[in-house]
Amino acid sequence: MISTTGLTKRYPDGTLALREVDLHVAEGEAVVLLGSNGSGKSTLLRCLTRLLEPTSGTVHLGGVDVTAADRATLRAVRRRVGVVFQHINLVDHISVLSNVVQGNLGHDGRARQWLAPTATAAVRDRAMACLERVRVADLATKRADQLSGGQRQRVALARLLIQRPDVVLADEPVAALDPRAGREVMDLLWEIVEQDGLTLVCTLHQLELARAYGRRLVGVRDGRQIIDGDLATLSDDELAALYALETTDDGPEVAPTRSVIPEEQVS
Amino acid sequence: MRTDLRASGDDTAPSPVAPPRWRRPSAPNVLVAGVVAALVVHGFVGTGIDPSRLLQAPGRTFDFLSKSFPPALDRAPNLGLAMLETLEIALIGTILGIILSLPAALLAADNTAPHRAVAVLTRSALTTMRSIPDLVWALIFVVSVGLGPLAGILTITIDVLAFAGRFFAERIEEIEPGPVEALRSTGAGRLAVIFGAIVPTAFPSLTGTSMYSLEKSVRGAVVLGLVGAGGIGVELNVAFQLRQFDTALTIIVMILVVVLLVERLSTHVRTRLISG
Repeated sequence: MISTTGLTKRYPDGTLALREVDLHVAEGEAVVLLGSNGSGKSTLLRCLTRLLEPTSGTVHLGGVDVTAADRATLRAVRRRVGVVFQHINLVDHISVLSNVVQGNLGHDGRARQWLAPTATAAVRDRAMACLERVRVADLATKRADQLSGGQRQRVALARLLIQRPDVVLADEPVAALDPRAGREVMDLLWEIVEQDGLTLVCTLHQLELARAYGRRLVGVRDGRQIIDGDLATLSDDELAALYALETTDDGPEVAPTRSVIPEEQVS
Repeated sequence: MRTDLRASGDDTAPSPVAPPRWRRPSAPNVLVAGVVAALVVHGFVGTGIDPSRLLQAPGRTFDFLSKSFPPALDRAPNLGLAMLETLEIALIGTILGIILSLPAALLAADNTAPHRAVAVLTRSALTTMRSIPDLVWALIFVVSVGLGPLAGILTITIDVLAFAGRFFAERIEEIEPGPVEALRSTGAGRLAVIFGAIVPTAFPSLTGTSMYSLEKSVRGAVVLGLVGAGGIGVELNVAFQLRQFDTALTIIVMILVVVLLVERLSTHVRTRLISG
């Protein structure tokens, strides 16, 4: 389903965040990407649908060469890929229902579908069903910025559901949440992925969470994959290498914070 | 181990030398100061300002005040209509300006402009509009569309467009990239991202700026009448030229009341926006 060869990303400031990554994920497989902050795992996830433009290497997703895709093809790929963000990234100031309705914009971008009040009845009904599935339908009329972190990430999952993706890329989905809300969101995410038979790549930085949810684990350090295996057979000692002090020739790795993002404009 | 704070003041340790109190001013600074001083001196000497006029000022002002009391109310209904016209010029001009400023801002902001060149071009256009004072715009529009409120409306439109357009563009550039990226990640198109994520996020600031623009426009529209662009300013100009100071005072009081009312309304709306 997902396949990268020699994927490399160098940020404009010279930081080498990804070095020759070859990652292959089969359809329906769930992979946990584990690594410390700044290891390059978020960059990897972003490069898969070119939310961040890779420097070199190729990405194939669902049989499409993403790196060579033109704008229309790229949008078609992105429609099939649901993304969960560490910073949740709901649009504040608008209703929860509007946020969910917007998950459908890749399929139907007509002006009336931009926000819930004007959206078609079919889309509104589907949005409500998605909210119901993540058990926050009662919050539909609230403004997104009035919700707690856990509720917000649930709404983000509903936005992902309405998109009907084949692939889910989750970037530290619970890093911004308290432990309990984090558990609930992780349970929900895994439940959705299993029930709908989706392919999942989920980055995490906590080993305990990875052990609790993951089977296949890919360990990333300094932009390289250094571990790829079954979590059941990997010992804590082996995984400790992911967090060892970094000795890179480029100096300390820089975490791709939000301010680093868009090189390309809104597209 | 605790650091001994006294050690730094100890005579045995050589204390670092304090920086010099003054630095020699750089040549460009001296040049600027010189030019400013020359302009001030030239202004006083060259334009022939006569200090004795200041001595006459209290008497003349008293003359104005005594002739303006009591305010003349005989033309109050007509003046009221002219005041209403001014208010309408400000309102219509502000609405048109705000409507135009939104697309202008989207073209001027780096993160929404279709191309860098478009952004630069739009920003220069807005800067040009802003750099030409509104009275000058009014003079131009009085020539092109004739005397009357239309010239006033067009002037206010340009004024609001230039001010709000730049302000909105700056707000749009400040918007967090996260939600925008989230919509892009669903495969949403450019317009859908702009109107789904960017415009709603900028909306509170849009409303606040609109109210502030209206406040500014009402004051602006009063003055526009002085060059014939409609409204109460025309009446004020005539009253002063005919030395009907009692009518002038009525007009001034009306302006005061209307401007204060609009300011109150605007402040009220903006406070509610911030708290709600």
